[in-house]
Amino acid sequence: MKILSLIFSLSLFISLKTYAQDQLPTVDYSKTDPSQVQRGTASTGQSSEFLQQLNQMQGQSGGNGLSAADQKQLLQQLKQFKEQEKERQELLEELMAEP
Amino acid sequence: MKQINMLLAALILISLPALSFNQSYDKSGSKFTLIFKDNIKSDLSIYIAGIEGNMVGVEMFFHEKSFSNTRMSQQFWIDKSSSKLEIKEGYFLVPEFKSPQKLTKEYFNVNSGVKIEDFLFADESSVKENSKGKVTLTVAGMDIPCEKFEKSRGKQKITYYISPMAKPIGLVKLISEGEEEQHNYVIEFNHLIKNISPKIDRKIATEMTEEGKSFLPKPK
Repeated sequence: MKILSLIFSLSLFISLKTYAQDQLPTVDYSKTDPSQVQRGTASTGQSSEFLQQLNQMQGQSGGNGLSAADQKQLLQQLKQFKEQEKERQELLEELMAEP
Repeated sequence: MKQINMLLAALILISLPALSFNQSYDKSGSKFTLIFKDNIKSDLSIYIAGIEGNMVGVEMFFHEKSFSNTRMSQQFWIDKSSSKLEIKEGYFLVPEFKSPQKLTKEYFNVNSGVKIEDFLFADESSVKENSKGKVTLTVAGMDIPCEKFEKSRGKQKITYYISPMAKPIGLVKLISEGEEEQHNYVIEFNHLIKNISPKIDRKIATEMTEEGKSFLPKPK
């Protein structure tokens, strides 16, 4: 009886494994929400790099405020970053709307 | 753009024998990578756009992103009431137009190689005649058991692989070869897609305009 049970368990395992392998990767477009994409882009490598730079500059200033040159550079980077994020967001939303 | 149109027209004929019309496959299909002879890669999606009574709508969306950013959608409605499937309506949409345009019948088959009747009007047994047996293909990192088919007409030869795992479209890989530039391409399965919103709403389609005809190859 134990042997039969073992064989049954084994065959069940094999059939389940075969079933799982038979599934091709599927993308469900009802679950692609552009707002989720927006949140995802906030953690891209480029964004992290920018935040690291920001932290470094803040660290260099000793927490007592930034120099005029640093502030100018930071504002320029921030502006550039926002433009890039906007472009990336538009592109992502466009792509996510496509099949 | 005309090359793409001819390609899409040929593709629907190829995929028809493998199509599954089960209602559960509505808004489902496959996404492929399309590779031209010069190694330009494009996205291609083929999916069921709708099932209404005896009619099934099949839509194809083509997007070439790296070179020209070309996009085109085509939608065909096929009568599945008899064993001989027949295209009843066809539409196309390019970003230049707000509304899709309805294809006139002479635009249903503009491919100079493999013809509509090679697949569309072929009964199952004659399609089976083109079978070259069962093989296992490694596509998208997966081993997929397929049935291999070959079909030639004129100077175009297509070799294609069909698997029930890739339903409802069924196509896993297709290799087209020929003397004409538009006859040389490879299509490879990427992944299945479901719950697609079709790009073409045929209810708002207009008649074909002269500008619309300029996007399409001239019918022979």
